[in-house]
Amino acid sequence: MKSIHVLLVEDNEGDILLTREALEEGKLVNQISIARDGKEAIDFLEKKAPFQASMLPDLILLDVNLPKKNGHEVLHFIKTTDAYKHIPVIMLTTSSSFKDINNSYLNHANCYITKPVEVEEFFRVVLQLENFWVNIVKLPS
Amino acid sequence: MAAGLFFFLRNYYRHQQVNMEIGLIRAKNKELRSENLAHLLMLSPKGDTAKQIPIAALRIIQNRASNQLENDQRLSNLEKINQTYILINRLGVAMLVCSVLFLIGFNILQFKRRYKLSKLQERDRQTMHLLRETIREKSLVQEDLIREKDRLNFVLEGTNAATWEWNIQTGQLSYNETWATLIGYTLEEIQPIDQSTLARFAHPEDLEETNKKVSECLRDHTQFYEATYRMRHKDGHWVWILDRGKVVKSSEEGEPLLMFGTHVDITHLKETNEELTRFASVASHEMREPLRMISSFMRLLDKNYSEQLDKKARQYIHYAMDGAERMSAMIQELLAFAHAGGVKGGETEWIDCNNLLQDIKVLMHGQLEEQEAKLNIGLLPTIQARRTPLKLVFQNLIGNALKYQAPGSRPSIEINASDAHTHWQFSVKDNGIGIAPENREVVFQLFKRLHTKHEYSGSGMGLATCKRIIEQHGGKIWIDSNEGNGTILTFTIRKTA
Repeated sequence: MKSIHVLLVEDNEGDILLTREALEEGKLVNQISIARDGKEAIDFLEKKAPFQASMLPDLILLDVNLPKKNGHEVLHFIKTTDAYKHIPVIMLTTSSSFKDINNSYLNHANCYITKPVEVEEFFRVVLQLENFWVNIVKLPS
Repeated sequence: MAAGLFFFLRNYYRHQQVNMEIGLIRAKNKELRSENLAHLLMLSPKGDTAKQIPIAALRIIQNRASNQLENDQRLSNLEKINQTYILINRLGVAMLVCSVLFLIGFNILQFKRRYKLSKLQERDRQTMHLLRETIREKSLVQEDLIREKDRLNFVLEGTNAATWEWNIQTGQLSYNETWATLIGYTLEEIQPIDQSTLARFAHPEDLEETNKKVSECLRDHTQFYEATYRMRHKDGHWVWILDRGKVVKSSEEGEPLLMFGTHVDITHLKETNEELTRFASVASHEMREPLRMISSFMRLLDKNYSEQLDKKARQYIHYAMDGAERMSAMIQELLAFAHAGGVKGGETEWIDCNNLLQDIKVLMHGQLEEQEAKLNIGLLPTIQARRTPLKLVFQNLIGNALKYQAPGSRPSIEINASDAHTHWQFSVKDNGIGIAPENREVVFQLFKRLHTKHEYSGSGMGLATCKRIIEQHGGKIWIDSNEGNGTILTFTIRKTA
């Protein structure tokens, strides 16, 4: 079984917990790393302190509304940096505004998902997401 | 005349004198004759006595006879004179009569002429009077106009309105000083003023839409248009302008000739409005986040730990979840309410209400089916409005009609429209529980609810949102209802919204 490493960029502890539980329920992801703001996400990828020991993730789940550097800035950084732009970035956010959606795709997001309000629905979406990106899609190695 | 009369009177007098003299002479002659006769009788022989007649007596008689002869001669002379006098008098009388007739005739003519003259004068006087009246009225009207114009000017100054006037035939345009002041210039600085002046200052993105509205107004003879656009201020920033124009003069064929309009700086209003909308939007987004946390974890707690909790704890969770759900719905509607008043409602477009209602019917299919509701839609017009808000109004009103029904009753809803000159009037009629007269105003207030949520659930924002949307479309919304016989909800939408 392949080992999948996901970087979750999310500032809301509740969402972190929910996403983590949902991903764990799918049992397809072995490793989940957390970045709690935009700057942390970039530091994690760049292996800056305190993430010197970090590994590059296979997938990134990225929120839009983030402190310090927002999701769009992080996305732009990833997709314009040769070392990271192959990593699929999944925008996972509460925003459903066209501006956010269009901006994300213009910056080469791999997909955009609005978090469902209902918790069951949220679990279902995360499980499907996991299944799609782990089982169906061939990821670069 | 007087001389004539004098002459006549003198003649008459003399005639009388002659007459008198004739009378006297005749009397004298008569006397002489009778005296002679008596004398002769006395002298005549009586019986057989022959008596000699004395010569003296004969002489007396001869004298008398010659006197008589003399008198006769005078008499014939006098009578000739008398004849002449009579002739003269007759002539005089004739002349008098003539002159009197002439005078009468002359006077009648004179009178006639005077009468005619007076008639003419009377007519002239009336004309003059009329003229004076007209002039007076005209000057009154003019005064009124001047006063009206002054008042208008005060109002314009007071509202800080800039004005423009456009002669559609010649293309000549004029602006007032305030118009230039709005964008930081003096009227002098923006010369020359022609049809391209606006294009020099207006935001190109907004100009197209504005031009479209103006040409639509002219083409459809709607007489009125309203547009908002940005204009570049001398300092470089954009100023939001509310431009309203009205055709003030048309030809007999109805072709617009002259248009008058105002510009009002609504930058502040626009900013405040946008700020409010943004605030409501952000606030509701931010509020939805923690709410999602509450409901999500309550549900997880219920799902994963249900067995470890007793009945009471599960009830607590139920109430917490119910509250969170209601608040979530409320935030959703608050967002709709905020957007209804803001620019987010989108631009106006031509909407065929028949199609719109069909879409809504499909959208609400489940709900209509579930209650076995009857929805009759009359022939509806194609109107100019903002699509999403208008759809929301119909959805809300149909939703209300379905919701506020007596238990077990089968809803019957009727939607109709009519032309009310400047507006389109729509009515949504139902057979529901109705609204008491004293509540027909308050139901439009935000968060106003007439029923407990056990009876009829709702956020109290539906009608408030409808009202806001309708007012945005230059219309009104009100309720006609017979309690127990249902509700008739009527609203209007301005034709040039």
